[in-house]
Amino acid sequence: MKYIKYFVFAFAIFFATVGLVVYSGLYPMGADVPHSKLSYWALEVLRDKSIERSSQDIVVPDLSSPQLLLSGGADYKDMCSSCHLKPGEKNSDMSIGLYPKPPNLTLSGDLHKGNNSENIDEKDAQRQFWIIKHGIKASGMPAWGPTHDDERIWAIVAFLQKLPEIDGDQYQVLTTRGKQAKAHH
Amino acid sequence: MNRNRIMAIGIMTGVLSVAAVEAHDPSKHSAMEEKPDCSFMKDGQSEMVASDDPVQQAMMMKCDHTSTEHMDDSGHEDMGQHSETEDGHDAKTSDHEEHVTR
Repeated sequence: MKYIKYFVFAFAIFFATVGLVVYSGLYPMGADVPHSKLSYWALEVLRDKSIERSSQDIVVPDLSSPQLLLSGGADYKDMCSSCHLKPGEKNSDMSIGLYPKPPNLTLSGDLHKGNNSENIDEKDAQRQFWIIKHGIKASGMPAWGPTHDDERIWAIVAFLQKLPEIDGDQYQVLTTRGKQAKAHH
Repeated sequence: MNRNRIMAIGIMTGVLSVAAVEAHDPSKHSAMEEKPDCSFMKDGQSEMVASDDPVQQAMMMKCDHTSTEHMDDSGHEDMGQHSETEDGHDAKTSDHEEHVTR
């Protein structure tokens, strides 16, 4: 009985503290003040686990078509490159100003590695598709699903799979929209 | 009265549907007059033709469009005409000068 009293008391203190922080307005909401390490870790884990769970059943289509690269490249340039950069770019105003910092998708990494078409990481593609379609809350990543169909989003995923491999000249050719975009819709 | 109302609703629905489709057309994302600079590909074009790499194939497709357009277009002026190619893409028929100078 004594332990229950302590437990209830601790619980009340916890919620009172949380309420105080929330309603006091003391929490720094500016994007130029980083979260504490604990908050950052908690939000990162929350985000990654949620996306992993939500995207696990997505069926990845064949992404090896060059046509997809052309369609996805043009959309990447228009919709993504200002934050996620283009080959050779280290930073942009958006990538510096946003918090959390958007990943540089031109670099190979665990989640954004570029492979040849036989070795495309299915989980990576599932994850990218889900993020592009649904966006991420309070991160600056918009949900493109309401305004772009799945076919178009997969084309961007196909381009992302190749992005770390291509140089500036190739990027320029692949992302020039031209008039072929008319046939897409 | 009812007839007018139904007509008005019909017209509004039509207009809004067209507007919704138009709003997300890729053409709204950027200027459509942009051209790929394919000049750096001239040296290695024959190797690219045989390549299985989707990136090289996509680049060939893109640059083929441009060069084919140049050959077909004798006027060298953008008259807003396009030719549907075998891969289903509209090819732009203009801007010979810009391409040659690059």
